[in-house]
Amino acid sequence: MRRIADILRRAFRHPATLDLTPSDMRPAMPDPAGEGRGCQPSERRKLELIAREIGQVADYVTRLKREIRALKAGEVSAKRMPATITDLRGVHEATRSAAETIMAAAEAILARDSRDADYRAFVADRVTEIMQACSFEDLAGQRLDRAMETLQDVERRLGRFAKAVKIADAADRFDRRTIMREARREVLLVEGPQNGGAAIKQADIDEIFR
Amino acid sequence: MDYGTPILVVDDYDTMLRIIRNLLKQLGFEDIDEASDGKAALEKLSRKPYGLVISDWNMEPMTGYELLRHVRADERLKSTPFIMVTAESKTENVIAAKKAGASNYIVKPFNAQTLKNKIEAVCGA
Repeated sequence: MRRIADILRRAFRHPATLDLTPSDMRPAMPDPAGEGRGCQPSERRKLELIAREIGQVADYVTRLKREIRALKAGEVSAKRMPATITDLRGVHEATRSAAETIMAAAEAILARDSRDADYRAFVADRVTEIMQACSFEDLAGQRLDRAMETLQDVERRLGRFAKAVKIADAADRFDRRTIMREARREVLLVEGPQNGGAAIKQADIDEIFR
Repeated sequence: MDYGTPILVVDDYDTMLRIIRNLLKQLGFEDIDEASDGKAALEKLSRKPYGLVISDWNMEPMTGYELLRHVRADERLKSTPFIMVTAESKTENVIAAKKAGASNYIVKPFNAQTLKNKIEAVCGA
């Protein structure tokens, strides 16, 4: 066992130049009648094969560890992702707040009697409020740019990792919540907004309902 | 068109509820109620007769699509005009909604004129 461990240790240290010493080739069990005869050639070949395979495994593990370090998973989970979630929450809140301000101003204008003497000044003030509320777009855009940058960086790192360790996507998914959510989406046709030209036009919908 | 008819607007976003309510008021409707998902809408429908339901599709826990199927399966509610107003803009959604008995379908974002046209089409101008 100790000899195997020594072999493994050398394999981890020098995976590409692994070689066996004569002492590695001796039988593992005591050989009282052997008188130091050592391994037969066929046994030596088997051991060399095993050692080569162990070397390859060690080489793979070394590469895997290097690539896992390059992922910087700690940095992603401790800093980048929390910051991205904060940015996205900020966008959501800014959007909600702007919509609230704009709606309130619009409702106030609708509720005002246009015959009032100060109607024009009142409307001008509400319009100013609406324009001020629209400034959320600038801040939201900057937050979204930062979030997109992080997601693209994570995507790049994962892609590089998958390529380096030669792993393909698993065919099966075991996350029960994901399976349930996707099954619900499929059955109830819940997809959300389509991007670009993928969305059906209102005129085409009207044609279907004609 | 009977502007006194009660209308139920179903959407899980407050802003969208407010937009539709204001557009309906601009059109002259006054009796407007709101629900935040299909389940809450069914409760309101069981307590009060509505002349029109305007519903979003993607809501939790009950979607607008499920609400539509419940409404059409209910003897008392099945003739209620039902307009789907949604961001679900795939052809299969539109076809599924029509098969389930939607009276009309509006894809978001929409304008006041589109909403007016569809209401007139399903409620009678």
